[in-house]
Amino acid sequence: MVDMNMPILIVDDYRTMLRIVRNLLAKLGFSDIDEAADGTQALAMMKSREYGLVISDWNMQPMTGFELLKTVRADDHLKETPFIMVTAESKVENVVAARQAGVNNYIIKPFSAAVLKAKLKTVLGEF
Amino acid sequence: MSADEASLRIKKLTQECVDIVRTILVARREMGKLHDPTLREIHLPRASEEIGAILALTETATNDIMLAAEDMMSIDFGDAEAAAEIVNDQCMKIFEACSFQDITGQRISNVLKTLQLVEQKIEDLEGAWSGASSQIQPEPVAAAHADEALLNGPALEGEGIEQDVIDKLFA
Repeated sequence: MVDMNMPILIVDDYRTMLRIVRNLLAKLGFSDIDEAADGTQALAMMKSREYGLVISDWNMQPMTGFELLKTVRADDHLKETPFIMVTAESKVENVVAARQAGVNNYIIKPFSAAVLKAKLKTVLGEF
Repeated sequence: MSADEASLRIKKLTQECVDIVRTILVARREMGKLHDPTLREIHLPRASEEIGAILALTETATNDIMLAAEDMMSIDFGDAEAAAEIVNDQCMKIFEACSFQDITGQRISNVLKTLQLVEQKIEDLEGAWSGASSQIQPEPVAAAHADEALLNGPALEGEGIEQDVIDKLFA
């Protein structure tokens, strides 16, 4: 069973999107949610706390979600962290690159609560 | 006016005409160097489509938010539990609809990049015409880093792939 109290990190440079994802996760029953505004901030947070899931946007500065993903997968302590990309980048080359870099799932913006829930179940298991 | 004076004036006028023609030819050559077909063929049409997509997205989001509000206004509060469930669901729909702000923000950034490109071209043309920029050369297009080439922003209709196709890739 999924631990509904596990810490989840959401990463996006749009405050509105952070708020939307946080509220959707809360609605699904997750209570421990941290936020970061870009990959650099997220990486620092991941090094100081163990997260059960990272949900990240792609297009951010200075470190993109894609760079964050590759950095996480190259780090022995972080590489097992489930990672979902939530982005407006919907070209095939983006999805393929993210897949090859080790992303666990990929959600195209704008998305619905139902899609987020389905992807969480795919990555984490039933809850 | 003597014949010598007249001859001198004609010679001076002729020289001025030659100078004007030379200036025009130089300016034309410099402007030619600035010709960038991608602006007209790619960037401007793309900006136009981005604005169209922004209008469509904001209209859809507004409609979704209003529909959710209307559903909540028509709730029968006699059944408190059912009413709470409807309010909760409709609030989630409002949150989902508000994601338009992120997408439109990225689309507006793309339009802004095109406007900055147009501004740069106008400045270069002014420089070429004033003759002060005989050294102007078109900006070489820097080869994008592999990762940067993946930063395209939201796709337009028909450009990206749908969520169900992605789901199959991850199945």
